Amino acid sequence: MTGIVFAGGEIGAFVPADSDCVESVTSGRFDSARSRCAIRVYNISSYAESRAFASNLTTMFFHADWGIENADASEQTSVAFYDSGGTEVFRINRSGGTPATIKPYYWNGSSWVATGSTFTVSAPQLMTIDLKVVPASGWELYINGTLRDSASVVMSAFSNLSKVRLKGTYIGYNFWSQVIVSGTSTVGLRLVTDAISGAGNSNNWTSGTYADVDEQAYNDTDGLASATNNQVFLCAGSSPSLDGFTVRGVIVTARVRQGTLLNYQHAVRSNGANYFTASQAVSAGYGAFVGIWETDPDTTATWTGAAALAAQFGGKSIT
Amino acid sequence: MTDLTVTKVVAYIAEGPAPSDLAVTKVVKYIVIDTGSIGDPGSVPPARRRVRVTARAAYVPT
Repeated sequence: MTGIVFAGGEIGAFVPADSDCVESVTSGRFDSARSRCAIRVYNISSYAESRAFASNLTTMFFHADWGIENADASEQTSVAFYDSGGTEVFRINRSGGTPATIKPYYWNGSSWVATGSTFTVSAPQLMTIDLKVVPASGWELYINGTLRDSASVVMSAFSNLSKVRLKGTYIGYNFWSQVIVSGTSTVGLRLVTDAISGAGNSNNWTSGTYADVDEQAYNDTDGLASATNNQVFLCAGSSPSLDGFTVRGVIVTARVRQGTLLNYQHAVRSNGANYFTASQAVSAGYGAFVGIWETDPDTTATWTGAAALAAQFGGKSIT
Repeated sequence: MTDLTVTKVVAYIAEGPAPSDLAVTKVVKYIVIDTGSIGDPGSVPPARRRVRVTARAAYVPT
């Protein structure tokens, strides 16, 4: 069964479409105990686009914290999902006014179809949503852990989901954080940001330090640069509180651009050994890259909280 | 109007990070935690069982 295929809550897991998509620290619009910011999207033409999921999902669970700033002027799409062919096939719309109506739609090959019984949410507010989509049988939408809407319907125009876009609004903002996508249930999961707090065990990249890649609001004016194959950098984390909950995975995201070297691997260091993901091809412009370890590579068993917190993280340049 | 004429000249300098190096500008680590199975459709909490306790007392002559 497919597990976690994507996670992140900042640029690095997502690529911003334009300057209307930024990282924001507006209070009350993200879970500040577990995140350091939200991705704020303004303007219906703007969006944050995820890295393609690690595998295409025939059963998709999407989890996120969704902060709503204002009543909107009219109905607009707040989050959109794409299949492996690049077609938008499922979306959640929010109507104008407050309370607003939340309406999921699916693509039937020629038009958008609304199903389910709509429900309302007021603004402003912060809510946790979990969306289950199974093209072969229907969908379920959970708000703050409770099933609020669903439909049994065969969505034959698509067979999988492979990417998500977090979208903006006419008025005010949508704030998105703590995004997790999995083939198994995400209800009850949370994404805890373990931001860089210092240097890790090593850094032999050509130039740059951990301080060049640790920012909350992304900027490309500084960074780590590699001119030689197989250079590794590692960073230490900030050891946030996990509140004793079970760890379901460690995720590393990076905003990377190619040079003479064309590939990148994420790294974690557990119990004194370095582990790397498979190489991911890097493009000429900055892109989003996500590495996922659902189990501790040192033990191949479920992460303990102590091991997850102690794991240093970084990346390796590849020819 | 027989002379070649230039009416405007501008110089530009293209700048940016060295294109020959692979570059990383932001790195974040996340930990996925499971707070329990509240509302989890795949893990319905066990129903409370109603346990009937019956007792039969018997008089045992001593």
